[in-house]
Amino acid sequence: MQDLYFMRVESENLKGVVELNGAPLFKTKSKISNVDYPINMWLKPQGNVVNVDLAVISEKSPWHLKLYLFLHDKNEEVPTPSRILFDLNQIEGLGDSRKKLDMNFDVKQRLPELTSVWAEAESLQSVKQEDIKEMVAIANAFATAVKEGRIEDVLKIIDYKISEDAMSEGKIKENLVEVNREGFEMLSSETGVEVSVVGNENAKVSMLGANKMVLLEKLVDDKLMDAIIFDGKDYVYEIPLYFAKINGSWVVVR
Amino acid sequence: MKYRILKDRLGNAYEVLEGPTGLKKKLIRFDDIESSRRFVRQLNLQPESLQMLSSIMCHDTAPYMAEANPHLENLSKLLWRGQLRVAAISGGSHFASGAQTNSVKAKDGGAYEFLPIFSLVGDAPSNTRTFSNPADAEEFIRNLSLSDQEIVSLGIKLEVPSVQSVQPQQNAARISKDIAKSLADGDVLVVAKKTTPKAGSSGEFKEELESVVESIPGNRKANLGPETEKVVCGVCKAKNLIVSCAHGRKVSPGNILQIVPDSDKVTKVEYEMFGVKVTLNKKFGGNETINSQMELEGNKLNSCFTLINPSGETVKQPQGKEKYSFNQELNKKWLVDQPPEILEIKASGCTGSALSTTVEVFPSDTYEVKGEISLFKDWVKEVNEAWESWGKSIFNLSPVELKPSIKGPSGTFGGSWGWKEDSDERVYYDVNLEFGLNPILGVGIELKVSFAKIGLAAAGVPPVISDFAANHLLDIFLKLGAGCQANLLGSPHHKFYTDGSKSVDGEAKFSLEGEILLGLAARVGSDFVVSCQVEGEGKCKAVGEDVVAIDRTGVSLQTTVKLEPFVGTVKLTTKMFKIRSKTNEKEWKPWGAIELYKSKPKKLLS
Repeated sequence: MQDLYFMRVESENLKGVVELNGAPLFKTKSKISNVDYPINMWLKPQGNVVNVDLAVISEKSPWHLKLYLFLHDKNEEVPTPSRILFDLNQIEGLGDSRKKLDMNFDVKQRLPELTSVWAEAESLQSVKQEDIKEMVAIANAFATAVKEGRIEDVLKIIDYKISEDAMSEGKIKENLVEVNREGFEMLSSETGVEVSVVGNENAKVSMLGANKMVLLEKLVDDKLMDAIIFDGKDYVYEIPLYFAKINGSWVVVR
Repeated sequence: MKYRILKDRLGNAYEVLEGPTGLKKKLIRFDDIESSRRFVRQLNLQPESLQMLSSIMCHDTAPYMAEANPHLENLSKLLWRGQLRVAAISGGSHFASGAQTNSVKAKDGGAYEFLPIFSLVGDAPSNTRTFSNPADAEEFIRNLSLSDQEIVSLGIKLEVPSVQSVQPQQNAARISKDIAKSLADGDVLVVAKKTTPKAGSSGEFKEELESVVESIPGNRKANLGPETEKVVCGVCKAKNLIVSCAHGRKVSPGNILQIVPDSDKVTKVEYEMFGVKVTLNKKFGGNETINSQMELEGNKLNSCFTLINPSGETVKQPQGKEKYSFNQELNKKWLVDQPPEILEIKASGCTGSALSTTVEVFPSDTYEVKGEISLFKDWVKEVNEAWESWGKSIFNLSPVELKPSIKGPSGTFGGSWGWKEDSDERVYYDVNLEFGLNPILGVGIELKVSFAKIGLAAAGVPPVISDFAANHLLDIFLKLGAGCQANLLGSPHHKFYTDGSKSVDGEAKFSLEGEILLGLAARVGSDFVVSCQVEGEGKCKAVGEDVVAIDRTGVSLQTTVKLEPFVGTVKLTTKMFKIRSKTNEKEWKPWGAIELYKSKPKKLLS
């Protein structure tokens, strides 16, 4: 079994974001939040950076943050630390002692090459307007294909991403293709769903992963949201889109 | 005081006494009403006697109408409550000890004793005079040549009817007739007393009152010598009577002194607390000295003083001192409602008006328990079982899967209870407890279990899982951390007084802290689920309440453990997209506010 890495976050009375190499993997605005997030897709062989951008919600209540990156113990079924890559060492306080946590941490260890994107993607100097238009067009094509039930078209758009996924965790790609097909078929068949997709007028991009990737989001009422959102009666389905320029073309990579 | 004599089937004789009794009586006590009923039944009384005895005191003993024999029931209650007393009579006595002597000296030198028949035990003595008709009895009385005053005095002592209705001093003749009738009817006996002429006297006989008990055939009593006639002033009266106990405590303005003898015996007894048998240290028995001091006004002679001690002994002195022994060991462990022994001390001067003081003697039985924290173990077990039931009802988890860890009880517990003397004339029932249980209980649960095991039917499945991941339950795990720890600390001290008041110092406080942490995790290597982020608006707490109730009925504890509701949302990230609920209906609410555990009030002492 391949080495699997996770990021564990437990927060109390904090809101904001924790990023790994610029990707906002943990977001919260609730008073209590916890998650174990697989990060093989996000780790580079070296130069990994954790960024904490959290603010205290209630000044009168205690807050705490537990955050660490670890190698999973292969004997366990659920994410369990075998070796710690990075540990923030639980920090805590009363609400008014530190109102904002804004920290960057370098993860010093060298790691194996878990995915191809870091080698294959171009290093970007900037993202031009036509790049944004191209990414927006891909996003819209993707959303339309889902809505219309053209699942093969959907799978074609995210083919690189599925390959990366399989490679990062040592899985069989065909299995993941089937899982994606099943998922998007289900979403496509949901009734009463409204789709909102990023447009040229509200697109926002941010570079990450040492400028190897671009996160495409839409700005709505001063809030940044995922590129594609299917808004159902009881549930919201959010599809973040990360792009990279590979062989001259923009490709959905995450 | 009035006397009644009763005999049981075995021929044992008893005096029935109303009101305070002397210390020298061998009083029979009844711990419960059943034992007094048995005693009354074996007396084998005729119905009319039973009715007469049961109606002696007519207040607050309404016949228990459901009882087949209400008079038996009434009499049993009077005896049990101590409103009537019975004392065993020693063998060899024909008459009740302490029966009032009504002796008269005839002009011919003879001496006679007039005794009511109800003070007779067994057959009449051989020197008893009997009269077949009132005329013979009247002649006998005439021959005694008693003065009018002597006749009236005798009539008063014998309580003949005419002393009630007319001014006795003015109707000696009528009273004499009534006495004669009583003699003829057999209600009163006349016993001739032996008299011994005083050696060298001028004809005055020494009168020697010789009790029938002390009469020994063939022996003659020794000549005791001349009897000195007491000289009194005739006008003084009792002004003050001060009674105090050995600890210097004095009687109240209401003329009552409450005492608890100093115990002098120890033993160990078994007792059930919280359903667990424990061993108590017990003290009981003991004695206390009662001092009395009287003052007269208007007296000029030392011989005017008359003091009647608690034992009934009459002393012609202004001071008295008696030791009261409390020998009985009571079986009941909670004695707050135990009626006291009633003793009376009286003081009078020459005019006859008396002052009296009542001494109430409370049992010296006190109990002590120390270190028996094991009696709380079953309670800990019950709380643990409540957690297991909770895990079963919400997540379908068995006790084997939950595997709660249990801690406690640890620390100290002790207590003592019994009657004590206050610094004033009062006593109180003292209940003193010390709780130092930290923790008294601790329960912890930690587990990770797949939703495949929990199943979709369980109450604790998040809607997002049942709606989207029903086919992938193996890929999602529940992480549960729950537990609570409680301690019971404090030293409540209660004093219950006989007037119903109480004083309270200190309290016992039970505090419980606990919380439940819920999390979800994707199975490592899942093809479907990337992560499950659980969010909530706060920690789900376990809180505890405990009522330590101490009142006259005893000490009881009742514990409640409540869980706050858990409300959370789950962000399920799959390989394809993120899913989050947007309506309240799709939030994760495995339980509302619930009462995890509520014990029945458990009696610690009663």
